[in-house]
Amino acid sequence: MFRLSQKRFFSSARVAFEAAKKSHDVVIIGGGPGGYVAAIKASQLGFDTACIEKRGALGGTCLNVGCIPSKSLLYNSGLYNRVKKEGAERGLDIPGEVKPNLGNIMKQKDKAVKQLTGGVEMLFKKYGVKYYKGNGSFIDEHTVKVDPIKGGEEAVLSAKNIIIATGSESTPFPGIKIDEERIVTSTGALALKEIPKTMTIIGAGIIGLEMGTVWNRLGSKVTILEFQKSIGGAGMDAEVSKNIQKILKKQGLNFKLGAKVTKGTRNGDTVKVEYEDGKSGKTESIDSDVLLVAVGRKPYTKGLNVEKLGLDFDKKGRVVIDSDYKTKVPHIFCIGDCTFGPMLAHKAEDEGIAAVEYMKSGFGHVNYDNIPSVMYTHPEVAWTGKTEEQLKEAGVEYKTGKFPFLANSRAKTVQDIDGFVKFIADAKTQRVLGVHIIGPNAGEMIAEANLAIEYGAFMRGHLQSLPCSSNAFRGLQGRCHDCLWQPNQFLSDDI
Amino acid sequence: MFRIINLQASRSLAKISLSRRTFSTTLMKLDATIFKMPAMSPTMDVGGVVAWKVKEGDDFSAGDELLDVETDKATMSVDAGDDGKLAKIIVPGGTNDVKVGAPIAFICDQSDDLATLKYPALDAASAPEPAAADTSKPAAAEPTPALKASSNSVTGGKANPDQVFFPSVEFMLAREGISREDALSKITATGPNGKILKGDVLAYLGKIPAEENTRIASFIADSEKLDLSHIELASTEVEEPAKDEAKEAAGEKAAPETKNPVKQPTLVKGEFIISKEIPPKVLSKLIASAVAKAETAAYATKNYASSDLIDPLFEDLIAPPRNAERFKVNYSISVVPSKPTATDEIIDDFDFEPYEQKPVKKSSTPATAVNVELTCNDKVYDSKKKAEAFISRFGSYISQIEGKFA
Repeated sequence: MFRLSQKRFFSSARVAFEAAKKSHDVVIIGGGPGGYVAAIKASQLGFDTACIEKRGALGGTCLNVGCIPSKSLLYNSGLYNRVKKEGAERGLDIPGEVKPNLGNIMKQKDKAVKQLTGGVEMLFKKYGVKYYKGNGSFIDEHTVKVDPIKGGEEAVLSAKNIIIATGSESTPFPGIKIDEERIVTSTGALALKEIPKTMTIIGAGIIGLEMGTVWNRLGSKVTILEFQKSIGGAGMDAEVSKNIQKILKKQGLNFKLGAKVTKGTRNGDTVKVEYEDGKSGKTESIDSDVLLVAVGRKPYTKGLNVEKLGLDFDKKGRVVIDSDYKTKVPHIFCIGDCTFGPMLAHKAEDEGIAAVEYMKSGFGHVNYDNIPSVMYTHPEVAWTGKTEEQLKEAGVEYKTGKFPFLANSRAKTVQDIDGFVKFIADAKTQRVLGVHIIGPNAGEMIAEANLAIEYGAFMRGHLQSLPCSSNAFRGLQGRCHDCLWQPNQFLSDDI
Repeated sequence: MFRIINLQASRSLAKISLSRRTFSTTLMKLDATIFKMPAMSPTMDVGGVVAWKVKEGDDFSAGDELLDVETDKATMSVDAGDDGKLAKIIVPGGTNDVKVGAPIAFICDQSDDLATLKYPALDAASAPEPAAADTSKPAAAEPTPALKASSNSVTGGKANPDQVFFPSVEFMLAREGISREDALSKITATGPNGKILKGDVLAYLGKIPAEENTRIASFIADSEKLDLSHIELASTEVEEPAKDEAKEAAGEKAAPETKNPVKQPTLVKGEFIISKEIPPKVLSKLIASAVAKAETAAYATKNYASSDLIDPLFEDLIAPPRNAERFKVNYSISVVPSKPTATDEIIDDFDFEPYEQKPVKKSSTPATAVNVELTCNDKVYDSKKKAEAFISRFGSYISQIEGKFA
């Protein structure tokens, strides 16, 4: 008996001092859309791959507290809103009152998130990616330490190549303290316990507008404060921005543009926001149940101990890379939100694949001119390629063609007539430079525009090269036909 | 007294379908179709043709057994996926080590006359099917271009000769009477992978200014790359690493690298004792069928417990293919001798294990031991789970056998 206990003592002491040393070809820090896709791709290309994630679930912001849960809330709130507001008109008799059950709406959302994050973990198993649960930090250029979270194991990993894919976090607003209860970021806005009577949102970017839409549909009175003169963020075409603002205003969102927020404080169960009105310059204030701070996101590289390696950062905190996604240290790569380019999940995924391909073969490809952006309000807003503003700035002469859904038979039939499709093409050659859509299913339709731009479409070439069968695509093509055939619109017929 | 019996697999595999001639337009000119050695399992490279079940010149219909194929594990029959006629056997029954994909017979339609039937050259079987060369419609008959990992520079260059023209380009070339050859040699291409765009044709025809066309192409090409031209570096105040830290790092580097040991395949073992007396012949047959049954059952077990958080459709989607090989079964049946036979080898490896209380086994009558060893295929992540499922099933079958003879 004595010997046994002694042996135990020794073995546990050794574990405490010495973390498991493992070596891998590729170690990826961060298991979000960029990191997990890169990990699977690396494994598929034959690398011995490990991925470190400290959230406790794979999928990053997108799957856990971003795109996916917001899509669940957007869809279900939209369904409720339509049945309630348009049901009678569409011939649906509903005895009693249709009511949202927030608890069940959240349950449905959580279930979807759990299934999907669990699914990513299964994918790791399937492709043989070693998953370390914990915080990864650099010991030196080739070594990463894993400090475990619950369920993880302590380890020291040595790797030939390392990818930093640590993503981004909500930008805090100076002077406003987030408690994720009454003063929330997007994370808290996706998990409110009850439907607030009133809600104020700072920032009319895509996150602010989507969250505003959700709670407005569920019955909150939503006011959105935006410092800029337009909504939708910097990437949205001005004409599109103006139009979607009108549509969302009709739906009940209240916008205050040019408003400079100065203060936000919680008093018990209400939050008071003070702001300077853009026109009058007067200071005004709003009281609401919940304040959402959605002023953007910033790169997240905390806890990486990356300073030790002397990697360069730019003024916004992004990791400086070259066109091959390599940092100053050539075997350390960086992709996704923590480096340059738009902060989009699908952009990070593509970069993850490209970075691994650079590792393997020295060539990868992402077309930054053709990354679609989608806002999942109703109607949806989607665009790819250039905006008018970008072309004006670059000094490129262009023409635009626009066709409203109001004049589309299918849109009229289903009474979904808000929005338009707009093409922007080079004035002299007619090469398609950008496509912007407001409309039902814009997020799906934009894929056709992506294809057109990727293959270098010209106005007429586009509609000839893409015969369509599905109704949604047919809609887009209809738009394209029509903007060509209108005698006063756009292009002459002889080319 | 040990007898290793190789497993005769009884797992039913998907029916091998014969390629139906009429699906492929390029084969219309040929009268007979080559029937190739089918792969009976994902790991099969070679196999033996045991016997043909259909004679030359005989008709067969869908579902008929055509031949028996022997793999390293089992002999399986190949069923016809479609109606047809066996025109000629190339590889006769009894031939071993036939490569998967090698031609083994000619088949044809039931209505074809064997006397006038034309046979395709056997070399054509291994070569890719040639595209129909019809020069009157060049664009339509052009084979799909091979994707090249060339750079996507679109500032203008030679047209890729393998391309299929865009409909808009083809339309314009036809309207202007430009031949395919002329287009490929004379028009500057600005599209991806040397594709000729509509604008390139328009520029060639002088309908739009050529320099505008290349200018807009290079404008687009520039914005396809991540803009890294205006990086404003943050003022970096990198603290000099403390000296002892540097030492520590150096020490760590000097430490011997842990090398990955060579991976041994996972083994799952099981030992089952049958204490009843059963005639050896009967027993070996029963155990063989128990192995087969347990294997089928193990492959059919689901990887997930049913729960609210699990979507079976999704799980099936990401699961390894159903017929991917999870494990190899080896088993032996032996009569347990009254005393264990000790050899010298055991002394070298002998290690005293910490004391654990184990139930003492007593065999009153000479018992039979069935030892099962499963070599897991570690490339498939659920192989160990399935192997364990096999062991538990097999154990229950053994006890059933024992029960029958009580």
